[in-house]
Amino acid sequence: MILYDIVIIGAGLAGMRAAIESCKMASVGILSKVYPTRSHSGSAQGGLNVVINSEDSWESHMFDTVKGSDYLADQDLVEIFCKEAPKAMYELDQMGLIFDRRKDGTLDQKFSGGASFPRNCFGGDLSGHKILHTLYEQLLKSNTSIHNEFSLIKIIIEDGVYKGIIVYDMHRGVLELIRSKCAILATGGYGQVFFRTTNDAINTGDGMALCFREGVELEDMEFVQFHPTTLFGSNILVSETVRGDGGHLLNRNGERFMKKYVPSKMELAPRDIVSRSIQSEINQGFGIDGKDYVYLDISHVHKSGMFDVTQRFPQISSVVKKYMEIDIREQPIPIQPAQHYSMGGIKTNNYCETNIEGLYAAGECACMSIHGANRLGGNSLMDTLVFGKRAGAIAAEFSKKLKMKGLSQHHFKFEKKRIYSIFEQEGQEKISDIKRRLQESMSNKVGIYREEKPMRDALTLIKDLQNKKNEITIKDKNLVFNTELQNFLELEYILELAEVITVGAINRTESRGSHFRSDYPLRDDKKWLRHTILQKNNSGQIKIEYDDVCITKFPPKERKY
Amino acid sequence: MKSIGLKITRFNPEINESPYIQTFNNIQYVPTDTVLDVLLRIKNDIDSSLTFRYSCKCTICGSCAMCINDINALACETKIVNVERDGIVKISPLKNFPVIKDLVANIEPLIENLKKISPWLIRDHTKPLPQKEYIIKPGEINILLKAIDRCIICGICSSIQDFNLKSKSTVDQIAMLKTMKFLLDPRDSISKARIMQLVELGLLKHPEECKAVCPKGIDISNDIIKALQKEAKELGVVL
Repeated sequence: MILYDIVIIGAGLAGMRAAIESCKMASVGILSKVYPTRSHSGSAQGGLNVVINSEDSWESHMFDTVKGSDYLADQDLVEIFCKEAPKAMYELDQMGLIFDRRKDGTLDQKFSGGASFPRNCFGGDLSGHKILHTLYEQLLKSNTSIHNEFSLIKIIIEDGVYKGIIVYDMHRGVLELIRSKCAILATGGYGQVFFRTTNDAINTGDGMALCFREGVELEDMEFVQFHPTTLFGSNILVSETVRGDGGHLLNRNGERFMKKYVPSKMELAPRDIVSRSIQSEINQGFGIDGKDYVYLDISHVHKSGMFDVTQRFPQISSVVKKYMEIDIREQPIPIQPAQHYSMGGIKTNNYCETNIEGLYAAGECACMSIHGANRLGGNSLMDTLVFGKRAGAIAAEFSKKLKMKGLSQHHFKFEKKRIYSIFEQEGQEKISDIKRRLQESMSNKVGIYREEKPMRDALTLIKDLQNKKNEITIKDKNLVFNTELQNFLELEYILELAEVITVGAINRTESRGSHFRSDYPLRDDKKWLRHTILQKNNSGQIKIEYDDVCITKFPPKERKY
Repeated sequence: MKSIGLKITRFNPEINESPYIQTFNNIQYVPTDTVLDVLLRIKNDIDSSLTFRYSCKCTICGSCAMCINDINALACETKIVNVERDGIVKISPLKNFPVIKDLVANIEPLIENLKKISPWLIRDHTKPLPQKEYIIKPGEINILLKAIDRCIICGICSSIQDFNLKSKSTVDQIAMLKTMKFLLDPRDSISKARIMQLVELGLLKHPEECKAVCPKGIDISNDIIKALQKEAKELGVVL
């Protein structure tokens, strides 16, 4: 058994920022399913939205965020977020973050989608990578205990109170009980629910799914962000900042089609709108060669001599060259939309607290909600920093005030039994087949354009696959670094979350932000200006309730760009 | 579709006494396939117990570093067509690390080596913290610093040969690389101490050449090892 005041699950940006803050006051252990530097945060290319220019204002950042969210964001929180962002940016700079600068030595900023001011700070197209490694340096400096390749398999909650977790230590091949006064979940998103996703293989929504299993409330799970520009086929991310630097979207006729959809913002409309526009071009047969992709072109910017695009976008230019054999200085990039981010997640209040005492969440796995129905590019990295820090500070305060609570003995034994029973199940099904069938169904039927009938079909399939997974034979029966077992557990998570997402999406009979219902194409504030709260009841059914949206400064208006 | 044979080093510590080579014949591939694509095909369709690390599939996470035809590289960026020899590709775990299982190397020594230096920024505490960001003129962040900042701690540069045993140097490439990063950062304030720390760990006894091919294009031999050794000599660091 391992003991801490606070255990943090997930060591991406939110988790590490929480650890760096909380370890000043408490004993802290942090777990990563991989190594912290291999977290998916490192894949983020675009930067951080932050108001640090005297001509900009937090009100403007707030308004852009609220409007981008299609008025579903909680405005009191968005205000805190926008006001705390500058401090978070300066802290990173003082930690040694290497971001792009202007000639005068100050931080450079550029436009990102849905923003009315160039307020995105960035480090080439490696912003997430740079922040991740800078925070890792600070984590090594701190007195946090770091557990690499520890996978969360169970959250122990008794009578509505958090008691501990059970983890799978892959390296040593053992299950471990970790007891702590409180836990912060920072487990990221669930991109692997979808076939087309920019997310890493590790993004299986472990924290969200395990919370849901234990009766923790999830919020707004129907809101799934589809990123407009991902590489055709592999769906590797191509940052929004390529468009921020003047990149054009072109259809098969070489036409900048965004002028048909959002002439005022063109390529820099928010992601939900650009993704729908691209999908609509593809559906109308205007994809390149009639296929399911269009072009993103930055070559004219390179040719104009404004800057060398391979210097400005070192990661994108090398990846596009490597996997597509395309030189972005000369040629357009074939792109298509793909799942990218979860606006929904573990429901937290303004203090990062879930409905379970002692259980906190921050980052993509959490839903506070500052992103509402659609997140703006540049707001998620900042979200992890502002609210990672906040969760760390609040959990540390909480842990100082109380003693470790007692815990029943049976959990660990029960969990061990559960894991060994997975080794005993037999059948002809395969993890990869079930995963693929689930993912394809979710991308096709619960994707950018949604409708009741196909979503009901998807739900039927999900239920079917949830049963079929019990007919998978695990060949590797040993516990040391058993990726097959790990993949099975992850399959269970995405099967559970796919159901929650689909149930939420069928239930919301309106279109708002990323959630577009072809059968209900309009926003319906009267009925749906509210958060969806999803919880598993005692009989295993999904119970849906609603929560009010906090509106302070900006009453809902038609969202027009 | 073409086909290829893979000779994969397998080891399950709970079953095998020592590693052995398993051959998978007639694995189908297309010209764009990477080693990772093919490994996934084996795991998904042939042998679900095959164990390897991967995550991002696009060279940013650094998880899938392994030894491919005797060269340490990221499986996600290594095309099969570029490494097959007479229809065969040999795959084993990253060299110079203990093995946990199959292609999974125990890279804890890498992290331990990193921790031997102080791998975080140490600013000049006699000066107040700036109210906002540090003012850093474009020339002060040079190309090398930007290149080093792309390091993904994949372990490839540490895996080329068993330096530590041969040279009695306990400093490793990752520690040198991180040190170089802070030497180049105008916000860091303890250059001389950092060099002394490296010398103490055996910098000057370390071989000058590192044959590893950094996936991020960092010239480990010239820009890191030799440059640091030169710096140490110029400073006249004596222990």
